[in-house]
Amino acid sequence: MAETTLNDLRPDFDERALVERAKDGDQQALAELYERYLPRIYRYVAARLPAADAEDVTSTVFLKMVDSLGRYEWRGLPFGAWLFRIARNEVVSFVRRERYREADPLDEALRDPAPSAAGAFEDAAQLAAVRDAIAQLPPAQRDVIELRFIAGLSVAETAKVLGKSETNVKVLQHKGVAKLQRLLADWE
Amino acid sequence: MGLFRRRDPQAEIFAEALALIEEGLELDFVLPLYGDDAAWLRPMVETALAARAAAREEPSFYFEATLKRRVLAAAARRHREAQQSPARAPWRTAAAAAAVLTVAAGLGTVMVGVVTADTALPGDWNYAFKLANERVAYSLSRGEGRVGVQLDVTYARLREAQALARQGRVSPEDLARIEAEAEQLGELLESKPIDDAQKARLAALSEAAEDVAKSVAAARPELAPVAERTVKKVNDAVAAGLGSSTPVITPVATPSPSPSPTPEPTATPTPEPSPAEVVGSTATADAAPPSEPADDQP
Repeated sequence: MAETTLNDLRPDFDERALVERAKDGDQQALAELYERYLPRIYRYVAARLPAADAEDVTSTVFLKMVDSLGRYEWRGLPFGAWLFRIARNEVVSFVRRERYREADPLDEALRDPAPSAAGAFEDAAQLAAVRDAIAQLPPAQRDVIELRFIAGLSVAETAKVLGKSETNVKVLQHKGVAKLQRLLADWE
Repeated sequence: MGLFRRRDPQAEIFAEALALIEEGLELDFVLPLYGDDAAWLRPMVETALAARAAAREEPSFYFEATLKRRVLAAAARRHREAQQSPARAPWRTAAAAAAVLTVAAGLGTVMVGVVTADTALPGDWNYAFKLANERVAYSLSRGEGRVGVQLDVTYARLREAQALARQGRVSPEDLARIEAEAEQLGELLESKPIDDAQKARLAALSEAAEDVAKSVAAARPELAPVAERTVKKVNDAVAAGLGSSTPVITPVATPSPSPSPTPEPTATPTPEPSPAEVVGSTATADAAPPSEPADDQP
């Protein structure tokens, strides 16, 4: 599957026309939407759930998208933001329903005692540390951080998904990253 | 570069710097744009990039292909359903509208029938409502009230026969209805006490029956014998209520016998008293409606 970029979430490729064709039953248009969004939706879901559950929830998200696509209207809510809103609701529902325990604490044996620069985060243990730190954020900050950096949404799209103002999202983003920085400094 | 510095200047600066980097600019190019802010901005941006780098999960090829097939199949199924539903929609709408109209028409008919039933005659569309109203009133009544209801019903049958006779379409069934109600009235009167007002109405019932019999005989002479029998039944009921088993009114076909010192022998061993004698025996006979059947005639 081709890697998507952040710009793919923005309707500069006439996503609106693509969505309308999909609503009219155009399988090619629907397949294109699916391919554009699947990696990002899956990544977002997998940031909170293990792979097996992430696949189930991602499947639910896209099947719900199909069910609701006929009622979707572009007014004020781009398709990507609408789809991520479905994904977020499904993740929240799944966690509540299953009383899912948040990400396992980082295995002490995997920790690298000497990471000091951004480039060093390539290491698997360091990546796990970042994810662990994200899991420790307050819910509002975590929502923003996951949508902004895991799912790759813009500030405007994140605001639409969460139903917040862009200013609020920027503040939460700033606070969330600042706290991540402190958590990761502690880990170091 | 113009920066937003409203509620949280650092949050605005950070968001703007991230946006530039996400647009493809290098970190080392972006940071100098912010002067002194670059000092705190660098570790923040690096942390954000580290968070983005942590998002590495990719769906497996098998999962991607399987889910794609399911999504497309579900979409095709929904599209088929959506195409079928508009064709059914007008039929369903029409059926629903017809059902609503039918119910509304039924309720309207019942309402009109109930309201207009009082003047209905046998054969009219709303005559059944009239009978139903009478049955309800009878069922809800007790004691003297029930006698009153039965009196009303008997008068109603008489009025109907009178009206039908005037229209020339009275039938033996109409007279039979009078007899049935008179018999039921007689049975009631044998077990229920009645007040003076009801006695007066009861006495007037005989005169009303006689008037009806005359009208019937005039309209359809062949029904005169049946009408006589009807009058006799009514008189029996009246006599049951007034404490006498003898008729209170002489049948229309039989003139009242004039008093004579030596009455001629008749089939009846004892001579029947004249209507005036019986009616006069009730204190309130004059208060009774003398010609009730004519009251409700159209």
